[in-house]
Amino acid sequence: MRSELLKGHLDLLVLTALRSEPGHGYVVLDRLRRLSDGEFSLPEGTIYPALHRLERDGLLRSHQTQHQGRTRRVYSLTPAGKKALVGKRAEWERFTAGIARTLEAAG
Amino acid sequence: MTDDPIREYLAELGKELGRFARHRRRTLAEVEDHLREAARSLEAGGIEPLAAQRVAVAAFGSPRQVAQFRVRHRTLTRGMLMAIGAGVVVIAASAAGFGWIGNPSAHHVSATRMTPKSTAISDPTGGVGAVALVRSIESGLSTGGIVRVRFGPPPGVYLRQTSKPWMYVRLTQVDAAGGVKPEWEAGLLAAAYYTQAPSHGLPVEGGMYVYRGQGTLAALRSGQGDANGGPIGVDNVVPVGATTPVRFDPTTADAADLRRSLTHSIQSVGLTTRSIRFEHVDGYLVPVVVTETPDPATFIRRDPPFSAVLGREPNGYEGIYFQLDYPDGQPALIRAFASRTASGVSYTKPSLNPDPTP
Repeated sequence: MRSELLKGHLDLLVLTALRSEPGHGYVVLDRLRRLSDGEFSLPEGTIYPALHRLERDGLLRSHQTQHQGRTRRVYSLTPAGKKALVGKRAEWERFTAGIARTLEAAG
Repeated sequence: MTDDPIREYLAELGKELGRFARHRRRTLAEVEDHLREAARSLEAGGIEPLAAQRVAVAAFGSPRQVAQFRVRHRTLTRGMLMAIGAGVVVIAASAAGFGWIGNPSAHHVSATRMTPKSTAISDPTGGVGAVALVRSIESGLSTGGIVRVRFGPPPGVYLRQTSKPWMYVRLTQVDAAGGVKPEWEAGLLAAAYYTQAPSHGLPVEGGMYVYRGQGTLAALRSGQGDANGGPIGVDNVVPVGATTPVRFDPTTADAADLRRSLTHSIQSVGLTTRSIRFEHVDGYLVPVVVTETPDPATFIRRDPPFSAVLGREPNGYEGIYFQLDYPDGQPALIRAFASRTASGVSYTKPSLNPDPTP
């Protein structure tokens, strides 16, 4: 899938990848790949600006840990992030359903 | 080139991020963790440490791109979200048809059954002649795109070979100096394509396979190369079953002779020929062979392996698409080979695969 398209949905995808448990950037990308059966494969460097922005917007929070001598930042959903995920998902489902109906009606 | 590509990358990224001092340290720490984790994962897959670092770096994107994306993302997000409408249409089109063009067994598969065989770079250290991007599925294999990477001047030119029904790509090693790209460079090239292709509208499917092998048609014709036309002593991806090297020039092959020979060989191993046709790819004659048997599992595990049998063909493995189906048309095995110019795509139905590792 074109990465420009993916970027448009990055918030929803990142929030979804972190829904069940916290994770660092590499894990988020890996979950996206696995959850999408490989369909979503972003240029890896694009994930961090998105994570930072979502944190700045209060939808994610992060904390540092140490892993094999390296600093690792682990992200998790905030209550606002969980709420936003529900809203974005519902919005997405309404939207895709509308597109599907339109396409179907057009034959 | 240093012996620590990740450190080198971080230094470059640090320079690019210079204007964003607020996030600089945090970003660098996160990127380093990411790259080392990615390299560790690649190493666990059997890739040597230095190559693993280089592949991890290549997959991350250039420092400039990463830094620029930070800026763009802050200003364009709203615009991107406004583009959702256009996006969904494309996504719908993709789910409906993209990737299935030309698949001889497309009618057997559905999008919901797609299971990427691998998203890993299986052999980035190979002496790459080509990169094949495939999407394998439970009951078949589609060709979303096959990519030909041509080395030599102009350096690093990517040529997209649009979807073909035979999953075949042939590449001539055209390095002007007659040399071969270092293995790590080939791996980087492949990884770079895998990373960058989507943003250029090129297809990237579920897996990427980088095959080892190299050679030139000139070497073959002059008798300087091995049976596959590659420089002697260099591994080629395609096994040659013949004890006596057979030289075959696919640009002058006779289709009628080839058909007779293939038919005989297929019968000799107990398969039923469903179809044999020929495609012309870049001036090469490529047999597209579809066979069937009620017991693919036995055939796949036969000894000597079927590859050795077909390797005795006059054409050896010089470019052949071979598909083995159940009588109902469900594909059990697909092989697309090329030698001398090094390429190949393979699929074995997972439940039949004696060696599930890519």
